[in-house]
Amino acid sequence: MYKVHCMNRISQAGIDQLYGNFAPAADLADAEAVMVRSANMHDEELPDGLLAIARAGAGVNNIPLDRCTERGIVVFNTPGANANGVKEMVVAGMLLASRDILGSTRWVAEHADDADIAAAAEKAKAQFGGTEIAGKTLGVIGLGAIGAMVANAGRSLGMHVLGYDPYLSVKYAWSLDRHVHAVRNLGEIFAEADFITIHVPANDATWHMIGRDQIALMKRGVVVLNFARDVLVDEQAMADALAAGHVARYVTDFANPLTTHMPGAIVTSHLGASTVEAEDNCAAMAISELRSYLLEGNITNSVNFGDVDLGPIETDERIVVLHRNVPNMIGSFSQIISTANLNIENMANKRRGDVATTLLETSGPWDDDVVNKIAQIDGVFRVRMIPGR
Amino acid sequence: MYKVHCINNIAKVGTDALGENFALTDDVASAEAILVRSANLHEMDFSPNLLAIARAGAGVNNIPIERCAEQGIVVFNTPGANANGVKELVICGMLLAARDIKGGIEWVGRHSDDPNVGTLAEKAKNRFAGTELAGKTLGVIGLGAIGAMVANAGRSLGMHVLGYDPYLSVKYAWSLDRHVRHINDLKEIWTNADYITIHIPATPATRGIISREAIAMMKDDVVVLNYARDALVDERAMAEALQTGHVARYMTDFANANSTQMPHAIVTPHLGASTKEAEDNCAVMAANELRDFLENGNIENSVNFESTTLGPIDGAMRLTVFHRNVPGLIGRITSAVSAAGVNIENMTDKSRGDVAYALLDLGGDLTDEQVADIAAARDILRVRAIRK
Repeated sequence: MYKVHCMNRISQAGIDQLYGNFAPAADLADAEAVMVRSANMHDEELPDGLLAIARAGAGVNNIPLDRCTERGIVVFNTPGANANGVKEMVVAGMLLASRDILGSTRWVAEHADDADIAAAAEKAKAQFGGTEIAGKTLGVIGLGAIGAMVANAGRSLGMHVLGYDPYLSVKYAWSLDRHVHAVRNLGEIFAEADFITIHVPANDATWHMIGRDQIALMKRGVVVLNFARDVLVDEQAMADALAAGHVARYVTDFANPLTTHMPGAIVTSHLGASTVEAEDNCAAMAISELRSYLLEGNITNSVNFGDVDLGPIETDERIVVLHRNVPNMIGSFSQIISTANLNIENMANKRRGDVATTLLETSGPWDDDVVNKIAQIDGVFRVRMIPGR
Repeated sequence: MYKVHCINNIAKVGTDALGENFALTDDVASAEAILVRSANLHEMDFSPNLLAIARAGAGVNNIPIERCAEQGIVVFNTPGANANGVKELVICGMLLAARDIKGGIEWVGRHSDDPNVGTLAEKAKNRFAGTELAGKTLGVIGLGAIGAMVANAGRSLGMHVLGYDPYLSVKYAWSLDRHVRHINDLKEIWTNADYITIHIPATPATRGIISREAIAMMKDDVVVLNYARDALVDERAMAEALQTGHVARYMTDFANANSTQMPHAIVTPHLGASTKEAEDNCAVMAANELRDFLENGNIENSVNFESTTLGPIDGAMRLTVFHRNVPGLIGRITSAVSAAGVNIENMTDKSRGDVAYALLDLGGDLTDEQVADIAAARDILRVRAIRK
């Protein structure tokens, strides 16, 4: 029975999955696993028994990752659980950018008490007219969970779609409409797209990737959508391009003193993942990640250890070792195991930067002595034995 | 060479679509065809040269269609040319109803001068949160050009779609995603749909089809979208249902004294067809209708004659005959042709009310006198001989 502590209120869809091998823990101090949304954990005391933290959401700024790694605590997040929610925002953003629907609803509100509003509307409506998205070219930068869904939505709404992702995974490649045209050079998107939407993480390589030089390559009247991270766009350059009329609309989910004063910007209040479904999906995914790790040692969507998966446990027990990624680690494990006259039946090892995860299954029963020997190797954070089913 | 007069500014893609047999003219009296948008033609006298009027758009209130029928002038419109424009507005309407995106944008506008607007947004955003379209049930009433596109868009956005249309045509049935479930009883839509959108013409039979009784059967928090005609909805009942919260949102393209006062209504000023593409499509479609009628005599999308088509001319010549819809008349036409010793290869005749239109492909040529004789007969309104 694993004890799970919820730092935030977690959606019922997630709680419903907490059955069988799990029990709620009222105190963090008693927890073997933690479910958290945005609560700040940086100042929390992490108990020795804590094995895993699952963040129902994407960002993990609220979790002390380095400390967790050193203590052998696996941290998970739920990338893609909010993908459909963001996709629908992007579709709405494209439509709001194409026709001045919002301006027209303001006009109606201002003339609400005009008895002849229907006739007045026929005269006024031309100023809110625009274009359609069908037949236009959509450039999607980043084809992960969100970008792939956006690209497919663009196709099904009759758009030509150009997709750019040098790290495209098989999973998302498979999910893509075959008419999404993969481009190898971002310049193609900047030169050809009527709508450009960006779905990449923020890191040193992607900071300001929509900068002054990139905007200069874009078509006049282009619409740029940013429902990913504000730092991906050089916002001063964007403000200038909007003022010059080069960019027609900047649709962004990030309100800040720059975006709120851009002419022609449509700024939403970080609503990308603000749906009941996205919350449910995040909670369900977080629980499923915890179950899989606690009951089988398999790791999916960890942000501090490599993803590793040996499937269901096929022997009497499975050993999970979290350790530094240094030479001779695997050699040391196998030496200890063979010295104990055990044969390794299945094994998987995955590194992530400076750290790694090793899963081991052997022929015979383990004893505490073998586990302790491995735990004492310099650079091993944690060893855990999980009984088979 | 046919001469066409444009009364309104018609998109160039439209006039280009007329092709090489056509020339534009400023002289309306010499024109065989008129292209018009919303200009009022009720006071205009039509010259005997005029064969057709094409309205680039759907509504024909600006054209005297009965008088045109009497004179054998075919009036065309362009239904469906704006379909994608309306479809995109419906999708946007559903998304604006699902999450309070509009409220979120307005909140940002009110806090635009706050240096901490980003942090404040994180606290405020919950009140604008909502749900997603994927997984919800969309009911589409009317599966014509617009309704079929809306139904397919719903499917591609991951919705369950129920479609209702007792007059569904083969053309639109064919275009429908096969996972759109065709239902025979509107009650299924009233009781199952999370979103209900209506795409039918306003007629005495459809007036108030979204009635108090229909609304009473709907699920709590349903969203109703009306981008068709305001008369389709009992707006008083809708206002009350919005007031009690039974209907979560009413999205309508019809601003009037009722809709502008409704709580939780999002009202646009008739923007359904307000796109450049819809205008272009209307112009191209109108041009194609004129071209097929003048070059081949075929009628498609007329508001005063039935659709009548024999495809391209197959024979030495094609005779087109507007006539009163009276007994024995077709026999008289065919007798006249037989008397001239010419075989009828293909023929079709379609009536609408008091008037009818016949197309005859002839194996041989009639002389101008023989054609004039047919035209002069009783109950014949107009005859045209089109030679290949």
